[in-house]
Amino acid sequence: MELNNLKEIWNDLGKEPVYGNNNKQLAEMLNKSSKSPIAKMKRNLLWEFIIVTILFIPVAIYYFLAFNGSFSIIAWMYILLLLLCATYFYYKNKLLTEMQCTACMVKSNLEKQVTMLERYVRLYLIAGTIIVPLVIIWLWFVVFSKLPPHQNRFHFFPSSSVPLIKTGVFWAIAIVVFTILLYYVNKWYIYKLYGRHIAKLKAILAEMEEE
Amino acid sequence: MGLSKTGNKDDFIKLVNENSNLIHKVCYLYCQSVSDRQDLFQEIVIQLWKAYGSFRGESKFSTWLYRIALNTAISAYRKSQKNIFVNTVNFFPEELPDVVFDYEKEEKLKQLYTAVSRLTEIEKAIVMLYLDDKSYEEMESILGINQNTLRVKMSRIKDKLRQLIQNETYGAK
Repeated sequence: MELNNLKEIWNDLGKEPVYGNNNKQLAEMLNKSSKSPIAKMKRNLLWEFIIVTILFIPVAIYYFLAFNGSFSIIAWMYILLLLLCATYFYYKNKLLTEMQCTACMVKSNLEKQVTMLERYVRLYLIAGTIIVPLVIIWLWFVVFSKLPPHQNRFHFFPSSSVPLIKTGVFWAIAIVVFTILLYYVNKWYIYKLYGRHIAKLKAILAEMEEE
Repeated sequence: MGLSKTGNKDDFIKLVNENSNLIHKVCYLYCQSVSDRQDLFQEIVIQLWKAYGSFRGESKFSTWLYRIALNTAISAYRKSQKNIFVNTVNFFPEELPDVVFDYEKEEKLKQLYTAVSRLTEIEKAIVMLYLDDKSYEEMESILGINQNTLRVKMSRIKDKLRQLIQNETYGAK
């Protein structure tokens, strides 16, 4: 059977509707949300931001008001963290918006998606890794500066019996160990989330490029 | 905004209805189960509607429509996991239009379906454009693959399909 002989049958196929072609059904479809992976990622991102905001703001307010305001530094840290998160979410959302161009040629749309998705994943990995040393340093600062009576109980804080260099080594080891650990955990998780999709897009692109 | 938006909506629905054959064909080509086809149809309509405001007529309307439909089917849509393993019976439309209701045609269509389902996403797109009588120039403007490469690919796909259909008819050796 030659492909040319199938053209007539092929054209008949289009007459078989997938959905009833009535205007009401079509009009209803226009009000529905997209189920594309990118649309879902955008929705998830928005939810993440809402949850972070809902969690951080009450904590910040609490530390502003509790203990006669002596822990307001923690409240400011939460606000700073929220601002950093907002910047991070904004940038991620921008990448997701630029990721898709359905009206572009199939090949250029795929190239765009792969480039943007790789950039998105890199940002995810860097942000997820960098947060570890920042949080550890912040914890050290809070405990060291706000809880002086407990200092001598730990080797993590300098005192008359614990030299500064020793505590410095402890902190450096903790930072390096946790950062490396979380880097690999993040890498595994990100691959689980996006790895297969990126690989699939790259395989399609490679097929388009091969002669 | 209300009036113009409604006007736009009506025009859009009219255009979709006029070109629904093309969208149906993409759905049949890329999805095997009924629910996947309906989901894909809906997703294509949503993507068309989202892009409709920015259509400036720089390319032909059909080119624009093919691009969006194929981009959605290839990269902006994920089939539901439960429907990935389906047999040929599910792949075949439940009710064929009257015009096809002749056994020879039905058999040929079945063979075409089975064979095409084994092609890659890009090969399916090329076959679809070929069967829709698109020139290689138009195919290039939709897919972004240069015409020489498309010719080579088309010739390979024809051989592959011939082989697949032969296997389907006489059984794989």
